[in-house]
Amino acid sequence: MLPSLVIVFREVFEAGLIIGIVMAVTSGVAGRERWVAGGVITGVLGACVVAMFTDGLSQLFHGSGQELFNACILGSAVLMLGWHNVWMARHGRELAAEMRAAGEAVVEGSKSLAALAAVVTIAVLREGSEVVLFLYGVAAAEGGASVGMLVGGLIGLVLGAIVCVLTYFGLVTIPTRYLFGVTSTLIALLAAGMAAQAIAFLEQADILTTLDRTVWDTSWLLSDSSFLGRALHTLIGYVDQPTGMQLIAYAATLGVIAVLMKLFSASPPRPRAA
Amino acid sequence: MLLASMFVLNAGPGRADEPVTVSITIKDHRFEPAEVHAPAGKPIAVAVKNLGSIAAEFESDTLHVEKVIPPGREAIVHVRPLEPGRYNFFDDFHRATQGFLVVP
Repeated sequence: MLPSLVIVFREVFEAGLIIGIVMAVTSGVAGRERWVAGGVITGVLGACVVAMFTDGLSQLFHGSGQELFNACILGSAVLMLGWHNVWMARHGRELAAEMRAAGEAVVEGSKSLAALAAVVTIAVLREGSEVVLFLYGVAAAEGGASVGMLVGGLIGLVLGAIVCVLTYFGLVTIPTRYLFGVTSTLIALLAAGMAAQAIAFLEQADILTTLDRTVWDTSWLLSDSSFLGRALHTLIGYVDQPTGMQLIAYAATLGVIAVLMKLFSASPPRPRAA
Repeated sequence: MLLASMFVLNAGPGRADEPVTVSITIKDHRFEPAEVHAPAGKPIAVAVKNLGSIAAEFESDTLHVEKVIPPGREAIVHVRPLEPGRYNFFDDFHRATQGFLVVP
């Protein structure tokens, strides 16, 4: 029971953090629960499909199929997150609030919700496929799913859901005037972390070979495999031994998102005549 | 543009630093050999063959690699040049299965 609990919790924990952030970022937007729930369900189904095709995928591209797939879906999530931030900057806080009040959020807001739902799908799919493969393997080895495995998995899932809920309630306590800035920063850091992660997969597959040496080592301070390290890894992309290319991808993602947000931000209201 | 030009896509042999290959098999939830060696400062290609009947995930926090290996398949993970040390790797789907990469 314990191995199943630990593995399910570790994977769900990371997806839970991301779902919590997405829920907090979209708080007040009509119908967002349906979009996020849809993202989770699609992610679970996707995880089963990926697990089924793992053997074939692993053989593609001279054995680099898995890494390429991971890099591509992470890259897609980076684009979705960046797009969400630019969209929010474009429509402006005030405009978004007015739209929510008028109910037009259902139409305009749904574009941004679809992008975030896609991010949820990607997060659940990536972590979930490993869970599915693990549970399938344990069941195969034990001649069927044991009660211990199912109970362990369920507890792991519940613990992961608690992480999600804590993240959400932690974020929504932030006063509204700071919320936009905080959530935009969180989304940008999430995107930057995923970009660096995508680079790491390409390095593992030997597809990317420049600047692949460790630049600094902060594992003495915080190991990225510790509980806090993993949380920071998901939230802000913390890595204890980053390579040069990972750092470039991280900085470039933040830079591009910041520049695009500035370029597309709603112009300040014209001053009224005295 | 600058970023794009910095991406060197490796289509095959031809790197300035030829990687050192290290081979490991997984059988009966054990790595064979459980301890492997590689020189410092050179990129390492770790070839892992899963001789078991269920999928394994070859993973290491200190080597920064993770890859699922279906039963009967061999996978290669590329590790960046390392400092001397003793690096732990494991099967994430069966944590008791552990091994070490020793860099003298």
